[in-house]
Amino acid sequence: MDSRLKQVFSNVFLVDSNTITDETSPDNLASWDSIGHLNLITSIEEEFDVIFTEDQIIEMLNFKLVCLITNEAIDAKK
Amino acid sequence: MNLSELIKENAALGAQLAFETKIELKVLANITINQIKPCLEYQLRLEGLNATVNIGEYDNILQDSTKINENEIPIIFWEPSNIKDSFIYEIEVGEDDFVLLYVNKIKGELNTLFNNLSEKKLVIFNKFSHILQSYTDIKKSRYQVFVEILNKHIEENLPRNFIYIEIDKVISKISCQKAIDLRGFYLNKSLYTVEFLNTYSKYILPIILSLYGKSKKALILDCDNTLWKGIIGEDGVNNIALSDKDKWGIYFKELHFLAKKLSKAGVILGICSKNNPQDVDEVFNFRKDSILQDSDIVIKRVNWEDKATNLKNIAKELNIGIESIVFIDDSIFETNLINDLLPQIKTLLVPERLYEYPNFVKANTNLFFNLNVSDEDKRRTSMYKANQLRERDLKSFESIETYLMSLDLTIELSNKKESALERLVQLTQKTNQFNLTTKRYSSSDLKIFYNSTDVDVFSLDVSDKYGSSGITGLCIVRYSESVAIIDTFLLSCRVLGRNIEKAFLSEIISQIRNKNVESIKLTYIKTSKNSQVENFFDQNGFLMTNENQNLKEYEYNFLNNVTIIKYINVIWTQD
Repeated sequence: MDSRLKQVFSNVFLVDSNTITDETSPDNLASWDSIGHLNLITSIEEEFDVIFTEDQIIEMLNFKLVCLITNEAIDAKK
Repeated sequence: MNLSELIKENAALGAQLAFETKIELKVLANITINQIKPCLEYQLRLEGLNATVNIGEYDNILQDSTKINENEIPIIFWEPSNIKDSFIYEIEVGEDDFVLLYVNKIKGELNTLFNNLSEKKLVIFNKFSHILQSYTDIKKSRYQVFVEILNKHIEENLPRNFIYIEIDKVISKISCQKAIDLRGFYLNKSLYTVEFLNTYSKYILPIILSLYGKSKKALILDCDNTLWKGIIGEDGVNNIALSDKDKWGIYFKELHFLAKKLSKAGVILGICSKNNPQDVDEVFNFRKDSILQDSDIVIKRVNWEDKATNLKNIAKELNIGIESIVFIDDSIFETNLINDLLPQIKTLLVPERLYEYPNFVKANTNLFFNLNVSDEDKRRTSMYKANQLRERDLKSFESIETYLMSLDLTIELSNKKESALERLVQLTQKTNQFNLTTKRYSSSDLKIFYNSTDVDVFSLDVSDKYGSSGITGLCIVRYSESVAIIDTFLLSCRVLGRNIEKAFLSEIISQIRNKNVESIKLTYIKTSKNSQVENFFDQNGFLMTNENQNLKEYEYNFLNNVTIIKYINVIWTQD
């Protein structure tokens, strides 16, 4: 799942997926701005067929948290 | 394709097109609409336009409307439900003067916007919509009435350069539920889903393509099971279905109506079919119940050659780019062949479920969308037919010169002809081949030229014994100190090959000479399509003063005599 998420990051933020780490966040990735965040949310929801809550969206502060929250949303679907 | 792939593809296309002319669009909105950027850029880039979509400041429509630069196309997303937080709920319980207050406020702001943008080339403006907020209502809400009042005001005051987008149509194509993003609206005012933004981008695409001369120009049809049901060579002329008389002829009758409407709007109709030519002729000779008649069809390639070759010949004979053709066929083998060999041609495969056929073609007629249809467009079919007569006669003459002499060629020239303005705008937008600078102008641009004492706008009308071509040439000259600069020099392809361009240039030189000008300067700007003009000025007495990769600068000092073409009569008129 990590690699699928990394691919989404790579597409949305136009960076090499190898450069994505747990700590990747809006602070160290210029293209991850508020609009990048919108595109990221839509893209993850499309990729994993999930729907995040408002709070989940706000809490996705770095790649690690994105993974955790995406997993949470996938589990909630089951 | 999902959004993340689209973003990636869009960036790749952007890199490929980086050296093409840049096209800029600016979206002004009072909602968060930034996700339209990749969606719209992607659609435009797929069509070969190096487009960049910029987003204005949030809720700064009026402020940003004063900062639109000359080449930007503004797109306005003015969302009535977001003129105030919770507006659609508050308005239902507010006092009557609450509604009035906002009606007046928005009317005033709309007027300012119209004023600020009325001189732009083109503005794309979305009709106010209440449908996303009202589609479950049985009774009309006050919000709906509010929106209807404002739409009435918009319709009565909309400047001519505004294209009014009925956004409800885009919404209904995918449904209200799929168009609205409620969570996004509450989180950060992003009202629309990406699915809506993609659909919207595709919907407005033809408008922008038309502005850049990329609309399709010709509809070429196969015959058997495309123009009629059945196989003419086997079933015979009375057993094919194409009208009410025949079982299931209705689908084909309606297709004929669609094609006829396109023809009236200036689209060239043609036939490309593997058949015996006499069989196809028989249909037009004996089936008087056919809506489409022989006179509607400008060009026919009915033979047993492959269709790619035939379509290439059709483009050549019509003097249009191969990418201007739309081709309909019922055989997937043929459409695949064309997609493979001539991917620039848009192919439409007749649906297997024939009841879908008329609607399917109708949904694709936007490919021919034309911002301003002129009289010349409407007469195009008859003009092409006259051209074919000229060609036929040409074959019986020994030399081109004798032939040209027999034509009784006349060029009629005018300066700033009022009635030609619309057509001249269109010529700047559509002419790609014989075009010195390929500068595209809008009606407001030309009006400025018409009103300026330092600019001449010469138009050209060509006629011969077969008829008139209409306005088919334009030359814009700017005067600055003692120099005349030819800013635009273009001729429609259908008048080329008769030395009209030489006579036109000679007349313009004579006009300029009368103005006490010391020299004429011009710059050839190379594009992928205008090589026809590349050496024209060298051959006509102009001296090249500078040359680099894409530009050639020329000067004319009135030392060389102008070429007089004996067999072309010249008339100057003014309206």
